[in-house]
Amino acid sequence: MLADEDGRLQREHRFHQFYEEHYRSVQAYAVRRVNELSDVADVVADVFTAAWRRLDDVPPPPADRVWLYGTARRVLADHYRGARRRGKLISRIETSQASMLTDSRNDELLLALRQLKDGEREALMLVYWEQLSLAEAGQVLGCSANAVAIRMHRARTRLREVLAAPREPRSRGTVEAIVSFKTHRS
Amino acid sequence: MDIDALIAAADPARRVPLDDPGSAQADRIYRRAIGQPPAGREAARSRRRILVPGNAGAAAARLAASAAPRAEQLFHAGLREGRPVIPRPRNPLTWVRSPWRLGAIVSVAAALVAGMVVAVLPSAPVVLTAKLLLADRASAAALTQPTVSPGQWVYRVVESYHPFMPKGMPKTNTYTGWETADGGETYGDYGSLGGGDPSYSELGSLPRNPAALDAYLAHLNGPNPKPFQKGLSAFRGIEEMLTNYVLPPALEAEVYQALAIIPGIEVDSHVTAIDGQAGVAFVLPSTPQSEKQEIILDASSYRFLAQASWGPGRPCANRRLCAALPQAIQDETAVVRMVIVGAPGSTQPSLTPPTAVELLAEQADRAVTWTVGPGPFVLPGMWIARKLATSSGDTTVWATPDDSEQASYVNGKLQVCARSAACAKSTQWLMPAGPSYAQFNAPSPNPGGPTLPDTLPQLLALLNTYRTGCADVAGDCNAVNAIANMISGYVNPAIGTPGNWFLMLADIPGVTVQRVTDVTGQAGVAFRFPFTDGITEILLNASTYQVTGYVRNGVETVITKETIVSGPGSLTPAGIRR
Repeated sequence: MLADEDGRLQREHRFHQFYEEHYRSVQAYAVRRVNELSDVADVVADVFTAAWRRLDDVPPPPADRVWLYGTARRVLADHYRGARRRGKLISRIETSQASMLTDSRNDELLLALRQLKDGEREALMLVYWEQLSLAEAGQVLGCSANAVAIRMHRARTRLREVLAAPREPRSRGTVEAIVSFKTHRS
Repeated sequence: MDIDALIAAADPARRVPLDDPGSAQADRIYRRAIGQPPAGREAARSRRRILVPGNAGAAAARLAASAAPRAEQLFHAGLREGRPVIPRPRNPLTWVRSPWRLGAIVSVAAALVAGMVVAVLPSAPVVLTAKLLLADRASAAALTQPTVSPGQWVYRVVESYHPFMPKGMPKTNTYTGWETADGGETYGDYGSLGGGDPSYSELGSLPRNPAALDAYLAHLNGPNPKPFQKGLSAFRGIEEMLTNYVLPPALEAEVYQALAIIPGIEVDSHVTAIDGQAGVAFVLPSTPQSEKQEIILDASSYRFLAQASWGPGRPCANRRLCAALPQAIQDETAVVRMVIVGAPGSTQPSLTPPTAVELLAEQADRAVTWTVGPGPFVLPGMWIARKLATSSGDTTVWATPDDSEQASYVNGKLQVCARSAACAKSTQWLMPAGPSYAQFNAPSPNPGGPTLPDTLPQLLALLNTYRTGCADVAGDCNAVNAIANMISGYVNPAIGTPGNWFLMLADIPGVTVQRVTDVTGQAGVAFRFPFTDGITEILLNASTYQVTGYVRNGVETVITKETIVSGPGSLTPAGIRR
């Protein structure tokens, strides 16, 4: 019994360190990808729940980051599936857009980002925002470093085109199109 | 426009205040993660919302603190530093000096028709332009290529050049690896981009007429494309087909014809690809809304060599300024070497496609490693309830993750039995013989600790040492049974190990693949082992390639449902499933 207790303490100690180190990155990861900021806590909690339960599988640093983002990706996919089941996504989108979009130049880019293919957008976000190397991003996405580089390139080219195209008024129709796109890909 | 700075600046995590791991919120999430109840009711309710947008000033202050300073520095340093442009001397449009022999064109046309491409050859006088001539040469070269099956392996050495990578990342990279012709399975560091548009399965139904193909591809990126988008979409679609797959020769011949008739397309006869090879390129010139694109062919073989995209040579603020800047390559990917091979790992040319068994093993490996995962994750102390369907009826059995305890209903009474107890002899264990749970479940890496070998011959040798009660020992029956035992009787495998098992199964002499309908009526596909003392099968789902069960001694066992429960006899799900 005593050995068990000892094991649990050691485990928790390790998890505690892991949590302190990665809490903010996981939070930022979620903020970048959820439709509604109030969902961030749920996503973060689910990622760390998985980490706690699979702590023995978590590789040592620096690979732990890759493991964590890979897990976060799956958690988020589940999250979207759940949201879709509940049919909430479309009705909620307008509030979420309002809460996220404040600065017009950044808004344009975020909207443009949503028009990319899922794999291309993720590659771009993981390298630019999560600051993973190409190889690390590849591990998270299940593809090679080169595939990440090519996806990033395609994403950048498409972004440039979308941003250069004349702006259309952002109607409810466009927002719904973006949402339905996102739900298909997630 | 400076796309890098824009992307960096748009990071939502820089505009939303994040809290730190010491915050009350972080504490609540922590407790929730490790399964301890939150401190109070209030805390329980508060997980609804953590990021409350504060007033502008406070938010801005926290924002500044939360922005990753390293990211910022990285980008700006990267943007300031000189951007090397690989010298690529050009002679504009002077490639074809001597008229291309008409006979060759006729033969290409004939071949196109024979190859199921209904080539629309102009009936009016043919105006020979450089782009049409280049297309004909490329088509002719394509038609000399063999037709390969979707699962054929291809070895590739790819060189890529991305001059505007954030600082600290190499601008040129060489990747080598193996990929199937359809881009579905990969090994090594050159991976398929996957999810290509058009998809491999769509290739067979594409219009068999170059103009119609362009028109079809023009609408791939959305309805009502503007004129510049049409050309760009067609060009991109073709580029994706050429880079993502090994195309059927007739289709490859067709796409070059389709390239040549995209409005505005030009030929550049003196291109040097990043690997130094001389090339000739189909060029889609820049427009006010889009950048220049190139598809480069080898100058002597006319086979696909590289794709490149151009853009402003340095950061610029608006479209007018950007257009005035000298253009530079933004990205180039060159296929330095491509060999059709018999199997991943080989670099020897071979047209032998992989066997059905090898392909199934790859699919099962990919499913367990990447797409579906290795099954449920069960915490120590929890139980797993398995609904089994067999040829003689359905039962439910409960077991611990390591299969050391088991329970089932006997004459209406729940009987729980530890493996060490006397009752164990009369119980049918799902994991009767094979590697220990410590080996199966070893953390990775686990230096010095128990683990399963990760080379296939060693793994096979080890698994053959267990006595699983079969007679065809020379035929590797013990190894096959040990794998069936582990898959059905244990949970929480070490990362990556189940993938190896399937690859190993494919190496066992005599194994075949069989389409099956399992006892529950589901379509399945099986590894089938004709052992001297009877047939053993390992059953997989025909679409997900997850293991569903096995057949041994004529008895089929399919696990129809696995539920994590708190103890024997319970069917109520507990804990997370993956």
